[in-house]
Amino acid sequence: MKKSSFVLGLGLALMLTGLVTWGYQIARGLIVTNMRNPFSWGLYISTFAFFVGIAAGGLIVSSSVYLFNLERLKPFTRIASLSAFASTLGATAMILPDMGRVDRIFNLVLHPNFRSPLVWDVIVITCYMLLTFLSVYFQLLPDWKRDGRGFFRGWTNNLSLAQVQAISGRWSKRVSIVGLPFAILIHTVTALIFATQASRGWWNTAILPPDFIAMAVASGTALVLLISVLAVGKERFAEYQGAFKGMARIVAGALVVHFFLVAVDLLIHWWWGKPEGLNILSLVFGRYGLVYAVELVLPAFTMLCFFSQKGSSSFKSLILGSSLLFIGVFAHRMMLMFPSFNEFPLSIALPGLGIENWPYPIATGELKEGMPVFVSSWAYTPTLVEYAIALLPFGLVLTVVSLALRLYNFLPHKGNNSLRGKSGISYSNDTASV
Amino acid sequence: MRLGMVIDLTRCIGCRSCMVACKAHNSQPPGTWWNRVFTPGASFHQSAVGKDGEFQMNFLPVSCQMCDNPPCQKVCPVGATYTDERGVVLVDYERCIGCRYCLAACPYGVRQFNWEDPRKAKEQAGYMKGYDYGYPEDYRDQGRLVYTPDRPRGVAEKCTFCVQYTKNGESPACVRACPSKARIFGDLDDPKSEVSRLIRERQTFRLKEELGTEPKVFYLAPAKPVR
Amino acid sequence: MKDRKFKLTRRQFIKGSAATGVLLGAVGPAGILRQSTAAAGQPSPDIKYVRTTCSPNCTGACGMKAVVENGQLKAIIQAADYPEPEYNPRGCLKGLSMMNLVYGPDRLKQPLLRTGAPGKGEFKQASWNEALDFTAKRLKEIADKYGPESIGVVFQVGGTGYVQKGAVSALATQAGWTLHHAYDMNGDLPMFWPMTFGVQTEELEPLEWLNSTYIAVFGSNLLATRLPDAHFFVVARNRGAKLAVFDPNYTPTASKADEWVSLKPSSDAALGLGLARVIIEEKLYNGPFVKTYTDLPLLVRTDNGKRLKADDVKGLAKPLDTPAYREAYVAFNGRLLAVHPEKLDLPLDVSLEGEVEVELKDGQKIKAKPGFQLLKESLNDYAPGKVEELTGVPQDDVVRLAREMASAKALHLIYGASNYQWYHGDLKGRALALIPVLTGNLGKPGSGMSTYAGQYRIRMNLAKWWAPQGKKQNWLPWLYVLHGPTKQMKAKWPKNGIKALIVGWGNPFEQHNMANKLRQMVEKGDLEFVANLDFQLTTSGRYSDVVLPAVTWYEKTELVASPVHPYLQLQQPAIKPLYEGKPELWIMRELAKRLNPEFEQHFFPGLDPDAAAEKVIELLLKTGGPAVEGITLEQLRKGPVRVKSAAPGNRQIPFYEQVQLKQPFPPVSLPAKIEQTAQFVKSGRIEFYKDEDVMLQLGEALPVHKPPFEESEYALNPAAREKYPFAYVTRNAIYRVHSTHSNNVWMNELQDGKPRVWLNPQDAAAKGIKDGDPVEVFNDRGKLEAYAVLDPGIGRKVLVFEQGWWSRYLGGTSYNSLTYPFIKPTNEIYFVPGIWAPNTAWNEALCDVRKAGERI
Repeated sequence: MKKSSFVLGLGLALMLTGLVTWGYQIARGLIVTNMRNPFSWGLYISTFAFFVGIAAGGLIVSSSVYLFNLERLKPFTRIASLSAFASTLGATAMILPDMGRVDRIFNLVLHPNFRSPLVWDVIVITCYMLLTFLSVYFQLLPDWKRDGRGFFRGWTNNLSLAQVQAISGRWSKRVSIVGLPFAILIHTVTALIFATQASRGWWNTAILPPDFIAMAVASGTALVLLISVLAVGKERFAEYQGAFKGMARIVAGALVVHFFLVAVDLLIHWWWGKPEGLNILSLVFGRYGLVYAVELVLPAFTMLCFFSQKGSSSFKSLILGSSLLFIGVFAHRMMLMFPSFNEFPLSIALPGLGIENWPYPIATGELKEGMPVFVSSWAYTPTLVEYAIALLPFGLVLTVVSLALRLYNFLPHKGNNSLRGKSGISYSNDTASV
Repeated sequence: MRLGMVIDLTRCIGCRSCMVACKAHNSQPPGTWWNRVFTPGASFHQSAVGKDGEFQMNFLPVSCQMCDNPPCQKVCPVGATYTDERGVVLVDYERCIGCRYCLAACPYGVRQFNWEDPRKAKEQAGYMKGYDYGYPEDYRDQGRLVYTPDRPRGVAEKCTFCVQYTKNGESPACVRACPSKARIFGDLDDPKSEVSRLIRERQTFRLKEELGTEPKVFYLAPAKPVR
Repeated sequence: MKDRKFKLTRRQFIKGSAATGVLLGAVGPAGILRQSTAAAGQPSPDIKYVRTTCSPNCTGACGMKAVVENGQLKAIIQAADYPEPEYNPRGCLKGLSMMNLVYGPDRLKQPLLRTGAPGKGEFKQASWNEALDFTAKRLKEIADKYGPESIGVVFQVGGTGYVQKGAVSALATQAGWTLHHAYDMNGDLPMFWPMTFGVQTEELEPLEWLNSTYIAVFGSNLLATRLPDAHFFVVARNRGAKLAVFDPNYTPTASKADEWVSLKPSSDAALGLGLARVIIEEKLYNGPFVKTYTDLPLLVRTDNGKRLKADDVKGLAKPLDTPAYREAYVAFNGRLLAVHPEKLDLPLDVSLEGEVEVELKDGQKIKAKPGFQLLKESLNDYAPGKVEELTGVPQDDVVRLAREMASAKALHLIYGASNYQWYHGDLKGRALALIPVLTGNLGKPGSGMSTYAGQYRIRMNLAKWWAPQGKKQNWLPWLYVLHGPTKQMKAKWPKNGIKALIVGWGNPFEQHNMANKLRQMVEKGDLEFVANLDFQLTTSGRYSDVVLPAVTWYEKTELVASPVHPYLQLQQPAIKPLYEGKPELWIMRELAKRLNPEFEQHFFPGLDPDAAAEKVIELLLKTGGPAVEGITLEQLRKGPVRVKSAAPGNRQIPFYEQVQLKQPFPPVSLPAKIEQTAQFVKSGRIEFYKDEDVMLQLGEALPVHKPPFEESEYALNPAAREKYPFAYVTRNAIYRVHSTHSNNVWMNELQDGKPRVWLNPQDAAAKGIKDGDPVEVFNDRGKLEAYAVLDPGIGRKVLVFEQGWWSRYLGGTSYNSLTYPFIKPTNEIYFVPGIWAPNTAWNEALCDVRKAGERI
């Protein structure tokens, strides 16, 4: 109780911080960020992509249960769905402060341009949010029926608990099966936002969508893993070790795919060796080498750890591995921006003068004493305001998850009781013990 | 009708008058430039590029390339960026939601964003109270606000080929301001126009042609007669 | 005034659209489009367009159209209404952003009286009455104490505005104040002109560049300094002319040329003489031209170096109709001939070479040689190999270039201000003038020599407005104010020196030689009173006791004619004066009233300033003489009107009358009388041989090459040779007209708001300076703080600063604190204000550079 209150309190505090700072940003404009014309997307979009990335895990886990009969993951489908729903909310919440005119958001509905990958993303994320919500809803429905609480349950009044359980089971499966392609789609489409842009060499690769999916499988599963491990706690860890190990192996396997794709991508950039490509590589390994090292080393550690017998079966290493992976994934999202925006698409080659890649300067959009208006690169580092606003989705996710955990039953129960499911795993409604 | 421009780099003297005319007539706030002229290869405009006594100094004006296949328009989620019936890519300042996808998509770095309230930015530059520069009247294209001297905060903007002038039959400010007449403006669909003639008869290039954006701004390469 | 062309276009467009409903296609040189569907987009009737003329001190005089709405100047665009389409559209980035100064933060709002220490910018606001009363009182006090001639007046150059500047001149004349001529003050007076051609300066109008087949540019960056005309350079090349740029630095102008010849700084005289030597040795010169128009056939005595006078020779006599300011000399074609100084009719068999024995009237027998012979002998010092040594230009190139230039059908030589603003700028010009003259490239289309600096030239007779009742004016070259009087000076030094200054249209506390010295003169009380007229608060304003808010050229009526642009144009007020600003004519009238009620009568009392200005324009047109004959105010209201000249199409082709109509040199340089300038070339010919005593003493009777700094910096301080290895060159940037637009926000955006010093990367490396580093340029006199641009095109041991930055961008000091008011004795042989006068040699300055903060 104490712990969950703390988490809820923290979530609310972060959310409040984010909201208040967002209010300040609305009053002053995006000038309070360190984004400028040459570097027009930053922490917000990275954080958005991060949340999209971890949102996948939920449905991937629950879908896998049905599609691949991964029964041992079954106890975690509820928490998985919840984490997916919350992360989707987080992603959506993050995108709003990035908009210069959030007051005109209705234009997305009134005048959607179906050629824009952003509109595709709005559609698939909305669908995904709906599906994750339904997934949570259907899984909770039997509890609600039994306890006589929850919402949208009027239609079950005339049904018996057993009927509701049947409907819940059937629809949970249906939602999961429909949800899986959407889980894949949100990454595909989010990746397509970037990958479609031939102007940006770092983005413009067909490897990006599969890589996003690989990363999403890894990080989404790791999120479920983390929440589950924390939820079950040390004392009951052994009980679900098999499931945890399974998830760890999914994470590690996905990371193998990710590293394979990354390696191929880097190789292609390097092998052809066009100046823009080489400049990107020099940004990646030089100017932003540290961030890139974080992106590579931490997930690599997680991968190795989760493949190892010890690493995939220890409480601590699972928590550590997952946490490091998140940092790595976040670095990956930031690294989407740094090299991409600092290799200006309009770079000029001057044959005969040894100049291959001269960035044509861009006006920053701001006149400030002592600062140039035209720049050939922009050393973007988020401002405090950006960091504070980026707390909003984190706060939202924490709030939603902890509130849900507090109100409803998401975690596998210790012993047997009347609500025993097919798999022999049961849920109780006393979340208070968590 | 497809409006386009030819820029003769032999005639361009790098004076940046077009940048300033563009800025003035389109009321661009401090820090915002739709139109740029730089010396490729030089760390500072109009310094020499080269070594050992062998130098060059060519000037390259870059503003919106008015692509026939405009990525900025395709990415715009709300259709705020659109191409009018004359082939001019415009931004509806009342519809833009400020997502800045177009800034990321444009290969030419021409898109500019109103990070702050332009009016405030102008005030900070110290102009007389109540003064604003630029063509003073709004211009609407079939109801859509595509020019206003008083731009809303949080929207993207860029060159419009001076829609407020060209709709009246005048040339864009940069064309009228170029003391070297390096810019030629006209209808690419009209085979008799000077732009069409130049594109037909002279070797032209377009920026980042390999991207297939199909710009309607063509360049005549800087040339020196061989003797 | 609503613009005629614009309106017409629109009416046609509406008509066209109604009739056809389709677009009509591109029309006209600028490709003006007409389109049918956008009737909604007609310009609002609330917007009006006013045709006026942009005229800061750049000689551009560009016709502009002001976009005015609601009494505010919203934007500016070129009027593009010159009859020759090649002149359209005339304008540049500074003119197009003038709104930033009109409505900018430094704009003066009301009269100011200084309360704090000079330069601190502490003022109290005053009413006009208060400020004018105070000014009049102080001027009277100073005139009573030191004499009115101790009040100096700086009003910059006439061509930018004959009416308002004339008002200042008129009051100064009435009150007996001393005027400082801007041409020499600004260092723009190329002394070789009066020395060689007897004129103030002459220039080929840029449209004529298109008739050139060879344009040789010596140290002029036309692409920066002549923006409205620079395209003629490029177009001339497109049409087949050869362009050669001679410059130590690779400039934008060099980038457009066929050939860039890099030479050592200030070695142009050696190159010019080397080219002349090849032309003479290979007999590529135009003999008949040389014999007809130059002094080279005239005999020079070998005993005393003086030109042989006809009056001194036995059997010869000066023609009776020789004016007092002329002299008849002697030529030889087998027999001695008295050469009439007003007739260019020497027989073509006259000798250019050899030596003759001449018996003088006193019986003495002396030897004499034609000037040409002496020149040829002196050119022996400039054999191609030697020239390579002196200039760094390979000797084969010297020979080739000389042949190319000599064979050009129409050679035009441009000698830039940056090049002549040196101590020996006169010698370089005299040497370079040999090339067009020896080859006969003068007085015909596309040919000649030009300098293109300074708004010096007066296009018409201004006396009726500028000098009331023909009263004599006091003039004093500015250099003397800083340097003090010299023994040999011909100008009259006021007995108490200059004790007060009235400064208009200028910023001498920033922009002039040793600006720091001028500041000290105020701080120490040597200058007891300074009044400043300007539309913004400049550094000079900060050092003034009273600042009187004037107006910009968008707020008043004015008449403009610049030397480089052959049009007479109006400035018509586009907006009302902002704040409490007043046109200078009004300010002078008010001051006149307070000084002496009689003075006021000259200024059209009772009329509002614009009406008065129109009266003045009518007066000037009526009394202006042949150049403006028949031009009316009504014509000018409609658009620009070409000034009249003797050349076909009223083209501005210098010495057209001399060469084509055989009128003697020099043509008149207004406002000077012919007797004032004809004394410079007494022979009535182009003079390469100068036999004035000073010239003989200095060994400069014929043009020679003298290296820089020897007679200036090293003479002043021999240690400078070791201590200060860099030449300090201040050139113009495209972002400023001198110090005007230094505070223009857009211009500063274009330069990141940072003043810059350009230097060669190798020199920078030796000093540990990297691109963009803050550096300090210094010598014993002053220092400059700026940021380094490493430009491989900059010559070695040169630091180039783009001039005009206000002190507030330079850490409080003026970049001119490094300069020194050197006065070359040859500049003092005669004195005619702004025509033969000591001239500021900005670039004759040595310095060193270090990274900022590395002070020892």
